[in-house]
Amino acid sequence: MRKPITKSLFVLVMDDYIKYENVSYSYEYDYEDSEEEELNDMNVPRSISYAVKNISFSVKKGEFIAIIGRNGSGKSTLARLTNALIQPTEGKVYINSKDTSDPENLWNIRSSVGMVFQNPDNQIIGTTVEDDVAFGLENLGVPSEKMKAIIDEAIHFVGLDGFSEKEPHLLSGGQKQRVAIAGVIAMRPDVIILDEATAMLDPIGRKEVMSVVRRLNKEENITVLHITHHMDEVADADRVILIDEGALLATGTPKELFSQGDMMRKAGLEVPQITRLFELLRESGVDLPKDVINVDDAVCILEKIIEK
Amino acid sequence: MLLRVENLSYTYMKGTPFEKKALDDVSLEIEKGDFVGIIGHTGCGKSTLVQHFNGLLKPDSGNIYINDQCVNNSNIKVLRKSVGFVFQYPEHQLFEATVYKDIAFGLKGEKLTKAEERQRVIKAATAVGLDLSLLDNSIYDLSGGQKRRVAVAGVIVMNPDILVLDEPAAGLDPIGRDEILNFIKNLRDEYGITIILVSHSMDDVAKYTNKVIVMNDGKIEMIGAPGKVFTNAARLREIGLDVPQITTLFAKLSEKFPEYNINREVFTLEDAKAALLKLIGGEGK
Repeated sequence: MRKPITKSLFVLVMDDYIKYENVSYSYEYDYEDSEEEELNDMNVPRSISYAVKNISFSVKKGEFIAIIGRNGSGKSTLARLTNALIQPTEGKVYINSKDTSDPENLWNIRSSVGMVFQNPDNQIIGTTVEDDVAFGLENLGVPSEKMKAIIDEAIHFVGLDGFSEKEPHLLSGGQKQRVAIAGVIAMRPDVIILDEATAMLDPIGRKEVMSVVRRLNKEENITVLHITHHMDEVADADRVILIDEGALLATGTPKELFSQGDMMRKAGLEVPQITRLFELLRESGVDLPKDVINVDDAVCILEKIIEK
Repeated sequence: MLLRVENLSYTYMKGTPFEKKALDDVSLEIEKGDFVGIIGHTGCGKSTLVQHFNGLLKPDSGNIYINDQCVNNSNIKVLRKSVGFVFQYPEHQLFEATVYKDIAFGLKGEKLTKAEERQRVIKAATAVGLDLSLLDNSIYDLSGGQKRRVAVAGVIVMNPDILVLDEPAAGLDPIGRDEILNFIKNLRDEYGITIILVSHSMDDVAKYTNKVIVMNDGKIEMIGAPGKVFTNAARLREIGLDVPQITTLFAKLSEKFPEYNINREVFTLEDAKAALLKLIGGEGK
């Protein structure tokens, strides 16, 4: 089922901003080192379970990537490997040609790869919106006269003008996530990772966050890795990476992946309702394309059939 | 009538600068065996409303009736007993050492014998489809989905007539969603528990409920069967909600082909497939 698309990307190494080479990761690895002797004594066969298994792929600067997979498939591990919060047990991750397992590169990588997490209440620390956005800059030692302009620009970008003095706990979920994004933007990253950042939001909140993320991608050419269970958000991505049980199952455009309903369901996911409806109609013998993922395309196609 | 709400109003932090009217003259009725979906965007008052159903909040004005008995300070215990409440991310509230103890926690006040207690716990665990061999395990050994089942079991062990669930499928993948919503549906079908589901997901509400309450700005905006409610797509979008993709598809088709009398009240895959086959197969070609 694996799509051949990664092959062509490997040739263009120069363009790859994020590059995974045969990466595996196990959360048990640290224990294994210290207890090895004991385990050998007891003749227990050694089996380590891997959260990520032999994954290779690459992402170009400015790409909008959706990462999908069921709960526990390894998506968040992938996110943490990408900004060097953890290092691969085997294989290499390169960010802008820098190896994440080289301690000298850590700070450089972490400042160029920003991350927004799932729960808005767990990632805001400032007592006002502008304090929260300033947090990262203060740590970098940016002079305060420069800081104000950077903060205002970031707050403006996420559409929260006039909220600078507000207390974060009085904001809605979507607004809090945009404050978190503003905090990341202020650091001028090249990549932003959203680790299920829309999972706890209502439809309005999700739309607010997604429109900010799309603008970051289009206008500022920031590379986006968006981890989500919402298939309507996946439909917006340039490319989708599907993982299951820690392994890369497929990569391709949203249409390419959604047209393979059986594979998606086997991986514990669903295709958009419209795509599923067309699948069911095809099974009943109606000649319809596989790669219809939105309502407007569906209306166009059905219109032609009905008018015949 | 199992649950009746009459002219309920509630204001948060009355008399302070943060004063906010969360519920404004809300009236509704829920019958035994209903599977009710309550939808609305964040801040529309849906959580405030359901917190009144088991007396976590007390109305500023208006009344709540359980089995036609008006709830007041003297009999609020009745309300708390008949309405079980499952909060968002309920797995965060597990705290006992074993699965069994966590489910049994609420029974402590009931002065049951060990055998009676065990029977109730087993019944609740079975109802949520939990593998009984897990009862003696630590709650930390469970997967996320299993933890959620334990949390629900700990509520239904109290034998509530009504179960209120606030976003029970939040953060789960699509298969996990279906699993949890199917066992909730089973609680209604097999155990006769009336279900009130608070949700953002129109697809879930369309698939499982027989009655939808749409809240907006502290008021009830619409109330009725999902098919009827979803035909007001334009208004739903206006108040920040989405309709299922299929409903949008049928609305658009019926606009383009008024001569075919296309039914706009389609919101499940099966109905959509049947309707389209008829349309394409019959008059089309």
